[in-house]
Amino acid sequence: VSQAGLPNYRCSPTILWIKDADQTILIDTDDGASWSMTGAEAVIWDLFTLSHTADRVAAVLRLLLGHTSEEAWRTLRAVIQVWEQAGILRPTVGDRYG
Amino acid sequence: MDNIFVLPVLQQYLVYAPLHDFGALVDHRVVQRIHDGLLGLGVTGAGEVSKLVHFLRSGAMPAPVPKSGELAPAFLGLIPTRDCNLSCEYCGFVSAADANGAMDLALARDAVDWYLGLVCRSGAQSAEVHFFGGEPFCAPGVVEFAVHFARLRAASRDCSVRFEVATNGVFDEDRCRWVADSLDSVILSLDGPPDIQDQLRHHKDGRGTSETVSRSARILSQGPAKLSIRVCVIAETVESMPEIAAWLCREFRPVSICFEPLQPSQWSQAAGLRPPDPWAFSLRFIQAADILDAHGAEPVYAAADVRARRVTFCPVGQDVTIVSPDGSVGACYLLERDWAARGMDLRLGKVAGGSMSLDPEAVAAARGLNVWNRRQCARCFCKWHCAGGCHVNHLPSSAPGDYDRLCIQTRLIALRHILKAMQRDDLISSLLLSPKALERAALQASDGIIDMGREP
Repeated sequence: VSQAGLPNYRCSPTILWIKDADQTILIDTDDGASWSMTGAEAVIWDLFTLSHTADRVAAVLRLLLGHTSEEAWRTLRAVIQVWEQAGILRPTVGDRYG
Repeated sequence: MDNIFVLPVLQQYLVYAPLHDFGALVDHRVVQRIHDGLLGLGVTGAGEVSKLVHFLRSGAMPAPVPKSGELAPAFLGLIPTRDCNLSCEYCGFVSAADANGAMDLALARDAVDWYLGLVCRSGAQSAEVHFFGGEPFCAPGVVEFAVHFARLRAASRDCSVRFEVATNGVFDEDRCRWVADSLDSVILSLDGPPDIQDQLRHHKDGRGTSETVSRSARILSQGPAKLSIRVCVIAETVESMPEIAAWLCREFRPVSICFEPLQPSQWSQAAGLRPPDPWAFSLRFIQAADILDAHGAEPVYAAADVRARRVTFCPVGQDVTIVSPDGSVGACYLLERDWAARGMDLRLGKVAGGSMSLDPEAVAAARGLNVWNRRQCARCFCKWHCAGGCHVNHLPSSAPGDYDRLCIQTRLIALRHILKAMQRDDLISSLLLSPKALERAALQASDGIIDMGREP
């Protein structure tokens, strides 16, 4: 659990993703749903796929975006909420990402 | 005239004019007529020789010149850490005293921000960031951060950025997939099949690395990043170069394989390792090159790149700024102790307090390190390709024609590449069978047509 009370996350095992210089595209192999991510969203996804904790992701976001710690956490929480609802990210405890 | 060269190739002569992008094989009478025509010593008359003389007098592209004016780095170099997870037999590149931890993320951000600002102000729309070490992935967070930050910043400035890393490939599968998916070019050090790799490139506790590095090379072969494999060749492995090339092409999908001879050091000497004989290296390189060509992988000996027209071989003199973990900025990625031992000062400035400060005199001095100032290269047909080689480690005699082992290798391999481009594989094969002809071509004191005698 992170300092801000968030658990760690892993991506759903049914999600495949592909990256190019401009975007990251996610596809749910169960239902064919897809998402395109750019900017900070793509960075957050990338960091979660590397098994980074929410604390680490927030710290990187703060430096990347020139945010305060509070702003970085706000950004991260908002993104996580959307992804959790979409089923592409799942909380995990002590597990690696899928 | 200074950039038109003649090399003996068996019974013929190669007239080579790199600034005309021209090569021709002619007999001794024709080369004499070209020489006389260029010097105005004789009447060339009408016909092909006359046309050729006219072309050689007038058709050259401008000679490459050193950088001048505003700073325009060919790329930004970042050294995330000087640490390394291996203890290769020949490498003393980084000792514990030189390794000073990882680069601070804020420092990486400031360096990238400064560089992209410079690129965009110049009107360029593409940028390049290269990662050097130690082993860059001993500080993976720095590489990740720099890639993400550069991409975000570049996108906001309507600019693209590409990334290259030089790595030993000893990392886990997740990291390797990230590298394959996120970077554009990976230079992987892999010296050959397991018996060679494990002997030369091992962990600090002596465990071999072949299994891990082979796995990395397979993953990298499947990803979008271009995989180039760098092979360090020693005296004991030089005869195996063709087999190494075949094995690498069988196992992996590299776009290129770069063979580099061992750079002798106190560490390689302590390990009893010697650089390969230059003649053996050249011959085996040429044999290996045929194997690589057949597999669609480019054979590379960096100094013998005949497509290049340049005044300097390496980042030095190209305005490249290489940022160390402590914030110091240099023109070269080698350790300060290495160039300082040669009496050189390649420091350019420092990143501190959120900004980059460079010493204009130091930048000018780095720009002065170029082939125009290497007298011994003036009459060598490779001058615009190798540009004198490494400024720190290649210190040949100052006398023209007094070639050292690196010169010999460069000259023979460049000659191979030129003949290959002319589709004269038959001549390459014949040359390989004639040590005397090879020596004649490689050891010719001056290649300048201007120096050619009446009876070449």
